[in-house]
Formats: sequence, structure tokens, C-alpha cells
Amino acid sequence: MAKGLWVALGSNNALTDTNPDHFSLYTDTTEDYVLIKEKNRGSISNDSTPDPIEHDLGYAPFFMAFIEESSGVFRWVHGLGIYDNFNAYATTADLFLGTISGTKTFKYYIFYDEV
Amino acid sequence: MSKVIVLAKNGINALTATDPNDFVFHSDYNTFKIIDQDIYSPTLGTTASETFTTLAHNQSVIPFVIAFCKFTNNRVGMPGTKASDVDFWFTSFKVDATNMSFGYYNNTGGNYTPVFSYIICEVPL
Repeated sequence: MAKGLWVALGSNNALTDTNPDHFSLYTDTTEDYVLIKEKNRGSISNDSTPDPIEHDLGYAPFFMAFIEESSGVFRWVHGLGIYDNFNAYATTADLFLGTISGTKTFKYYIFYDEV
Repeated sequence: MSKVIVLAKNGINALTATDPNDFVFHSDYNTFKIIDQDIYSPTLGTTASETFTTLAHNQSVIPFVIAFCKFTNNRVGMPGTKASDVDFWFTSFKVDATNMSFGYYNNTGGNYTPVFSYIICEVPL
């Protein structure tokens, strides 16, 4: 029997189930069902010339960010689009979260996973 | 020696590896937990500009949420994407203390019924 670690969700049987979607943690010998691992999180107030957020991973990491467009209302930041007042991107050293105009607060989450 | 629970990728030695990317799971690093996920499929009329349709998330905090839109041709996009076959846009996604808001622009000339899917994680914003 292969060695691994399986943690099933809810009433699913960890000993017999083979659907990775039924597990919070799942391994087999052919695929690495990697859990995305958080490196750090924070918030920053930036304008159209944003201060960089150093991550020092040496590669462009997976990240998620939200902009507080008004008090208590957060919009998912996903680059630059036709209706968006934000621009978000990562480099091998930094994460940049900025606006097109004005100053806004961003909340960000940086993960170890390389994109 | 500190105690941890780790699960290395295939071919990696769990006892000696130190790169977080060599692990499927490592108890020193937080993983986001999904606490709710579902779909929301409203019928949307035409609009002249970006409009929002809302759905309550039923969480006690402003939650971390990821959302996608499956267009009627079964293609799926993130906020800022347009259906490839008609003039319908999934423009943006936002969340507050009560609702998730799905932004759209419908210039198809008639009603449009997308399928929004969302994943709510336990992380509070």
C-alpha cells in the first residue's frame, strides 16, 4: 500500500475514496496535489506610483489582492481592466499594487507558489 | 528539534528538504481553507454601463472570496473578461460585510444568464 497522508472531507471515506475533491489533504504516487502555502500577508496604501512590496522569493509568486474602493468594500484586484482603477503585478523580487488615480488601501496575500 | 507535520512531493525527502515548494503540506505555512463554495445564476437584463448583481455571503466577517463567470458558451473567465461570442462582460467582483457583488455589462440586446461560481475562504479581509 502506498504511503501518504489522506484527510477526507465530511462523511467521505478516506480509505476508499479516490476523488481528490473529497479531501482536504490528498496524496498519490502520480500527482502532487499541492496545497498553496502562504508566505505573508499585509496591507499597503498606494497611488499610481506604487511602493513595491518585497517578497524576495527570486521568482514571480502567486498572489491575491483586494482594493478597498470605499470603506468596508473590497474589490478583487486582477490586473488592469476596462472598469478598474488598479494595476497589479509581481516580479521576481516585488509585488506592485497601484491605482490609476488617487490613493487606495490594498490588502494582499503572497504565496510560495511560483507562477 | 521543532515538531512539524510535513508531506513532501513525490521524490523529495521530507526529512531533509527545506524549500516550501518541495512540500504538498507543511504545518509551518498557512493554507487557505474553503468554507463555502457554490454557484449563482441570475438572469440579467441589458445595461448601458457596469451594473452589479448581489448575493449574501452569510459570513460574520468580510471574507476572502474568489469568483469566476461561466458564460453561456461554457467558457469561464475571471473578472474583466468578455464572453467570446456575445457582448457580455464579467467586469468585476467585490465583497463587503454582507454581500458579494458581481459586476457585469450586458450589451447583447436581450437577457443573459451566466453562472457565477464563488469560493469563500476562512481568511477575513
